[in-house]
Amino acid sequence: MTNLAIEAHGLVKRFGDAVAVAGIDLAIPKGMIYGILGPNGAGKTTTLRMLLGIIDPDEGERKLLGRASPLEAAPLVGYLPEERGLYPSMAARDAIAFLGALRGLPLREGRRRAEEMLDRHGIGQVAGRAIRTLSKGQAQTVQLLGTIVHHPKLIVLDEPFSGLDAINQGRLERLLRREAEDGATIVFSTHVIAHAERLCERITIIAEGRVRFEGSVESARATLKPRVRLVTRSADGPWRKALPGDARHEAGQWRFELPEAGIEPLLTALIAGGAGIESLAIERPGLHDAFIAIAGDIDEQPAAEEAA
Amino acid sequence: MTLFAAARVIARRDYFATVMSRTFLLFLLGPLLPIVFSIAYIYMTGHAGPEEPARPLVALAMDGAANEAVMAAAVRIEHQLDSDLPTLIQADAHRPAAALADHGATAVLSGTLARPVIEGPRGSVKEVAGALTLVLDDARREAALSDAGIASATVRPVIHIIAPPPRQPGKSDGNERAVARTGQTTLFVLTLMLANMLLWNLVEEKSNKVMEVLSAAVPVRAIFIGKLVGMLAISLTAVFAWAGTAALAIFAAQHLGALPPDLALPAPAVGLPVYALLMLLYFIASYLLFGGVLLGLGAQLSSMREIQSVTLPATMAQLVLFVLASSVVGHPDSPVALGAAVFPLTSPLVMIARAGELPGLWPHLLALAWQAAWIALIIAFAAERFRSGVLQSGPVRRA
Repeated sequence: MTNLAIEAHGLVKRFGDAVAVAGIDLAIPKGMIYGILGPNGAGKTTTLRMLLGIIDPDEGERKLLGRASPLEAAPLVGYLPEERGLYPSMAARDAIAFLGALRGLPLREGRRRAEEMLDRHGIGQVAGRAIRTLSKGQAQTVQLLGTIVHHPKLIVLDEPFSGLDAINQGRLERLLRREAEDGATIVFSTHVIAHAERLCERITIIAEGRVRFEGSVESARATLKPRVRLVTRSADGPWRKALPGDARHEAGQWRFELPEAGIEPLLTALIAGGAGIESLAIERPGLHDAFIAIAGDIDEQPAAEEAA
Repeated sequence: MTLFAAARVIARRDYFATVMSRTFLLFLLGPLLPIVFSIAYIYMTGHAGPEEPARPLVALAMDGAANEAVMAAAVRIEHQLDSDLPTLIQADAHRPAAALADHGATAVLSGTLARPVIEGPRGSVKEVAGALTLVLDDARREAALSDAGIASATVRPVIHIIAPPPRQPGKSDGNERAVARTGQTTLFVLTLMLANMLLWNLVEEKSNKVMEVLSAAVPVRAIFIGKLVGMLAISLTAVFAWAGTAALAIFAAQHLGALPPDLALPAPAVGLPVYALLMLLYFIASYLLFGGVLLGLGAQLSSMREIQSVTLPATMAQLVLFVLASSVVGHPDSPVALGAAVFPLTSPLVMIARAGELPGLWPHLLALAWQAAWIALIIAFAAERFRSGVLQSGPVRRA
């Protein structure tokens, strides 16, 4: 029995002449929170749609929870698409139960669980209200609860934080952690790196339809060297020769990558050269820096995946 | 979850969401309003349908015995003819001319049985002269028999009921043609209305952006079948509601006297129960055929504007097919009728007309099997188009 929740080999998707996904490999272990990161138009949504069987890849293979046909695994999967969609006239309780019924949960049981979940999330009073009368945050919560009402083993969320205020983003993070603690595998796509940095154990960075990085958040950050921020009293002098060639002077500070030799030889040379060190800080790069470095500075373009 | 279990979830949601909505109530009321208003009008005015034309009034100004003989003759003839004669009233025999003014009569009958005189304005006299001549003849005959001492007796003819002469094969009579046209038109209007509703429903669904949630959970074919079946159930609910209301309206109209209690509906050639069953089956077939095509087409559209541009040509195409199908009424065995029965989109329309005109069930069994095969084919093809088109929502970036 495989230990992978999702396996994909060489996934390719074209829309006419446009190549949305150009050969993606993925291996997402069960039971972890996994992020798929990429700039807009990178191919994240198309990749998720192929993994879930909403569209077929032109090339490549994928397995969901060990099943070659994603729809066979559908009762064990929950999916929150980027474009949220609920029937406006449906009551919140019925909407959650309906989403569960699509995954094989009996309607009656779905309604019972919906009431419980809405109560637990502090919006039990909206259970009987039509979706069109709810606030955007409430409607998004209803859809999210509909995604997990059948207790899926794999939860896939496409840009789950978009459109949520800070409070609701915090709630969603807590909910995802709780589901992961209960044993579910969480896979979500985002272009907001902070969420991935806080939540994910492993990430894949996609750009222009290709995987640019796969690994832990730590290893992503480790792809960049620590950076040094230096402020000196002396504007010039022999100490300048100790700075690396790529050092830049911005807003009264020197900024450069920590040299291979480490901090001690640099400090010795700066002191000996009369720099007059006012402050020196070594900064570990964040995931945001790693993401920019890995994904590259790609112009925003209309997403080919929107046509999927 | 199996394909059909998934389709059932979709169909169930669509059915209850639509049937429980206020819009559906308005949809039902649309065709019912004229019926309801008619019943209300009849009830409020207390009239049993259109007013009967007033019977002409004839004043009898003959002598007493002649008056009585004419009255008795009028009763006899009215009974035998089962038809209304002018109303007769007694007037002053000495002032026949004054009877016109005194009684507001149409005409005055005076004189004797042997020499009767009818007086009145030209048009009025002409209106009553024929009937009065008949009545006077009968009164004279009765008087002659009485004078001769012979008892009056009406000789009634012997009546034999025989079967109507055999009809030429492939020919129908006027009543059956009327049944054929009525059935065909009903089928067409229902299909047109409900299949187009399906198209609008789909575009609304796409605008709700629910389609991606559905297609991630169940096969797209299940969504397609679910939507089609859900709308069929909605359609049948509407049809039964309308049929039930129509039956209730007829019952109420009979109760109020607007329709005769022994109202005889024109008889279809296959018999009324079989015709009703065939009507239901052909409606289902026609709806699934058109609905399948329109749903496949609708999946390629993404906005109300696009659908508006497609609805008119789609309706025109349906209208052309209806005209073709209605042209074969009266010639159910003609080559055109055969061709239209074979063409799947006109087959239900042509066959329901045939059921009205010609007896025989095997052509219907054959046609239903043929239509079922086409339904399967169209659903398979349209579901594939649905799958490829239903998630499209934006422009494609060129590489």
